[in-house]
Amino acid sequence: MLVQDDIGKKPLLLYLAAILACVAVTLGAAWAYTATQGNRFLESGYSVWNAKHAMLRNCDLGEVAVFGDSRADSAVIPARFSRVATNLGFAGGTPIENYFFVKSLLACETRPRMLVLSFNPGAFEIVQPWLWDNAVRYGVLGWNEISQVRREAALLNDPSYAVVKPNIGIDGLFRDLAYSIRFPAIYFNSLVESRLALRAESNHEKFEQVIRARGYPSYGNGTRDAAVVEAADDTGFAPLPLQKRYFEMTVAMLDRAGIETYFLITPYSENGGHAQNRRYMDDYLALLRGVGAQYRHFHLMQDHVPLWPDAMFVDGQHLNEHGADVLSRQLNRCIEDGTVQAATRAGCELTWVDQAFVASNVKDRTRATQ
Amino acid sequence: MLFNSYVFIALFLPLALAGFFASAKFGRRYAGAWLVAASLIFYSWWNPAFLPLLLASILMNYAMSELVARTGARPALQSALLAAAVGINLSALFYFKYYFEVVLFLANRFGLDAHADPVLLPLGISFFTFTQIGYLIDVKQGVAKDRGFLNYVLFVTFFPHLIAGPILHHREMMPQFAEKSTYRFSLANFTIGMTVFVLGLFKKTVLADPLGGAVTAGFAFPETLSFFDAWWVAIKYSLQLYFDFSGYSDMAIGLAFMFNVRFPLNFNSPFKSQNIIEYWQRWHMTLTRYLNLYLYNPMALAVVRWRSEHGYGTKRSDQKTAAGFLSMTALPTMLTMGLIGLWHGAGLQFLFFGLLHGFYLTFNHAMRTFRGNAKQAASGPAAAIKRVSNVAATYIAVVVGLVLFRSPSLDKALSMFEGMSGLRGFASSVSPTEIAWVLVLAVLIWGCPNVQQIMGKCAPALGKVEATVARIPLLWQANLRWACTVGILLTVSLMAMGGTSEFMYFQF
Repeated sequence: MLVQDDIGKKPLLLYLAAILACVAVTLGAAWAYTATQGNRFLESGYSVWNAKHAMLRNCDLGEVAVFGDSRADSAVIPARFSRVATNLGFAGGTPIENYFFVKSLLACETRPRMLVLSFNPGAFEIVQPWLWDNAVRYGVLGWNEISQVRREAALLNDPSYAVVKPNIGIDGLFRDLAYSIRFPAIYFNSLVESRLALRAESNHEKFEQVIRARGYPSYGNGTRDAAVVEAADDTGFAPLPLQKRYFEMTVAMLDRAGIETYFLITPYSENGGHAQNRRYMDDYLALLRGVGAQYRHFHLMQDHVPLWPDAMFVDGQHLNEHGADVLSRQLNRCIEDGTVQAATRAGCELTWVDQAFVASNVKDRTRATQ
Repeated sequence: MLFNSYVFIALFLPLALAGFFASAKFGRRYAGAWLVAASLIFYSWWNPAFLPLLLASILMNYAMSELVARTGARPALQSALLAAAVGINLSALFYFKYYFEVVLFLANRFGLDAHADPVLLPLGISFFTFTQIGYLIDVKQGVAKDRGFLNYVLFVTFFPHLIAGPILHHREMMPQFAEKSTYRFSLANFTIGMTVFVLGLFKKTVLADPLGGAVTAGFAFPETLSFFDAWWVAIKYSLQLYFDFSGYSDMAIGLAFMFNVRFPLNFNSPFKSQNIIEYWQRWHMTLTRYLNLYLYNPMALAVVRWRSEHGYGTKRSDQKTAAGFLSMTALPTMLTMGLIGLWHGAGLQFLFFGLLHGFYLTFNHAMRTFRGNAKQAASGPAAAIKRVSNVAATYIAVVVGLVLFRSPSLDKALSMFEGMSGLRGFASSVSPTEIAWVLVLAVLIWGCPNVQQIMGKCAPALGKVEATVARIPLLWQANLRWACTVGILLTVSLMAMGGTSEFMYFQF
C-alpha cells in the first residue's frame, strides 16, 4: 500500500532527471545574470561601491585620498579641496575591507601624496555582516581576501569573524563559500525589489554622480531632530583583535610605502549618546595614539572628538551636505596651511567655532541652487 | 535545523535518506537506530542543550507507559500512574512555556513580590509532550497495541514532525514503522515526497516569508494604523500564517513520504470553509483531532455522565434546551478552545483568541441546534452567492481572531482592533504592487486546489480530500510539464532562502 511503484521506474527517472536539468538551467541563468548584471537590479549602494572601486582600480585618486567608513563617506566632499582628492569611504566599511583597498592603492604607479583614514570607534568593535553583504556580494572582495581574514581570525583566536550571519542567514565556511561564489540566493531580494531589472537607469545615474563627485555620494540635506537628546551610554570601548590587526597592518603597509597618513575623527552630533561617553572616546583615542607612536608616517589629526550641532547631521552619525561642506573646507584649509602636519599641537581640531561661516555658506549654496 | 535551510537540504536530508536505506540492508533495527540518531541531530542542531530534556521525556514516558500497561489488573494504581505521568509532562510544559509569563503577569497585575528568570523554550516541547500524553492515555485504555521501544522512539522523534507537527497518533504511526516495506527504498515515494516537499518549500519561502516584514512592523506599532492599513496588515498576516504553516506541513508530509511513511493531513484549504466548525476541521487538523480525542470528548462525556447521574436528560432533544446546550455543547467547547488558545502561548491574548473561537463555535453549534440546517439551494447563482458570502464571513471572523493570535500583547491587539474599526481614520498607504501580490495569493488560496488535491491519487498523506479532485486540471503526473514546474519552483525557493530583506543602509 505504501510503496507506490505502479507509476513505473522509467517515467520517474525521467521526471527526476528533468527536474535536475530544469534546476541546472534556471539556476545557471540566474547565476549568470546576477553575476554580470548587478547594475540592473542591485540597490543604489552597489553603484556607490562600484564607482569608488572603479576609481581605485583605475588608480584615479588624485593627491589626497580618504579611506574609511560611512561617516567618512558622508563627511568629505573632494570638490571643496584645492587639490584633486577622492573620497573612498565605504558605507559599512571597517579596517578589514579598507586593508584590501589600501593594498590595491599601493599597487598603483601613481599614488596619492596624502592619505586620510577615518573610522568611528564602532568599526573596531564588530565584524560587520556588510563585509559579505557589500564587499563580497558586490564582487569587490573575493574568496582569497576573505580566506585571509578567516585565517587571521583563527591565528588571533578571535571568534567574532566566524559567527557573523549576513543576510543569507548562515555563518562559517558555508557563508564564505556562498558569498564568494556569488550564489544567486544572495541577490534574491534585490531581484524582487527591482522587479528583476528596473534599476539600471537609477544605478547608472548614481554611478555617474559619484564619479563626478569623486566618491562623495551625499547623504542628503535632512537634519537630525535636535529635540532628541540621547542618554550617554556607558559601554566600554572593546576593539576586536581582528579589526585592530587589520588597522595596524594597513598603517604599517602605508608606513613602509612612505605615504603620509592622517587619521581624521569626523564630528559627532552634540546630542548623540555615544559621543558623550567620555571613557569610551578616551579609550578610542588611546588606541589611535598607540598606533601613532609606532609609525613615523601616521598622524592623529585631533586629540579630541569634535561635537557639532545636530543641524549638520542626517542622523546621530552622518553629516548632511551642509556639515560635509563645512568639514571639507576646514580640512582643506588644514592641508593647505600645513596645520594638518602640526596635528594635535596647533590647529586642525575641526571644532565647531565658525557658525557665521557655515550660515553664510549654506545661504550661498541655497541661492546657487535656486 | 529548519527544513528551509541549506544545511538541511544539501547535507542532512541526503545523508539521512542514504543512511536509512543503506542501514536497512543490515536489518530494520539498524535503520531505525539511524533514523533516531539523525532525528536527534536534527533536533539538537539549533541548541544541543535541549537534547537531554527530549531524551528524558522519552525515557520517562516510555517507562511510565510500560508501568501503566502492566498494572491493568489494579485500576486505582494504574490511574495514579497515568495521572503522575501526565502531571510530570504538564509540569515540564508549564515550567518551560508558562512559568515566567505567569509570574510576570502576577507581579505586574497584582503587585505580587515574585521573580522568575526567562527560560528558553525547548524546540517542539508542546508537540512531543502532547504526542506522548496521548500515547499514555491510550495505553491505559488498552488501545495501544505496538509497544516496542524502538518504534516508540521513532514515533516521537521522527524528524519531519518533531518541531512543528503534525501531531501524530501512535495508532497510525507505529504500525508503519513496524512495516517491512517502510525500509525498502521506493523511487515513486521518493519522487512524490520530493514533489510535495518542493511545493511546501515554495509556499514557505516565496509566498509566506516575504509578507513577514510588513506584518512584523504592523503588529509592533498598531497605534499608527488606519482602518485600511490595519485590515491590510491583518489580512497579510492570515496569508503569511497559512502559507507558512501549511507549507511547513506539506514539507513534513513530503519528507515522511520519502521515508515511506504517511503523515496525517494537517491542512485542507481552511480558508475555503463556509463556517467556523468546518474551519477547525480543515485548519491544523491534527491538533483539532487530538483535542477532540483527549479533551473535548472526555469533557463532554463527563458532562453527559453528570447530567445522567443527576437526573437530567442527555438525548438529542435535551441538547435543544438552553441548559442542555450550555452544559453539553457550550461548556466543553469554551473550555477546549480556551485551552487551545493557551496551548499556543502564555499571554492573555492567546486565551482571548481561544475564547473568541470558542464563542464562534458555540454560536455556530447553536445555529445548527436551534435553527436546524437551513435549506440548501442546490445550485445556481443564489447558492453560489450564499457560498461565497459564507466563506467571506468565515474568513473575516478568522482574520479578527488572528489579530489576537499575532499581537505581542492584549493591549497591542486592542490597538489593532481600534484601527480596524475605523477610529483612527481611513487613509491608506497600501501600494498597487502589494495589492497585486495579495490578489495572486488570494487566487492561489481560493481559486486553486491545495497540494494534497494536486497530488490526487498518489495520496502522500493519510486522510481524505474533496471528491472533486478528479475534475481539477492541475493533477500531478510524472511528466515533463510537472518536472519543469517543480524544477523552477525549487530554484526560486532555493534563491528565496537567501533572505527576504534587502539591505537598507543606503536608502537615505
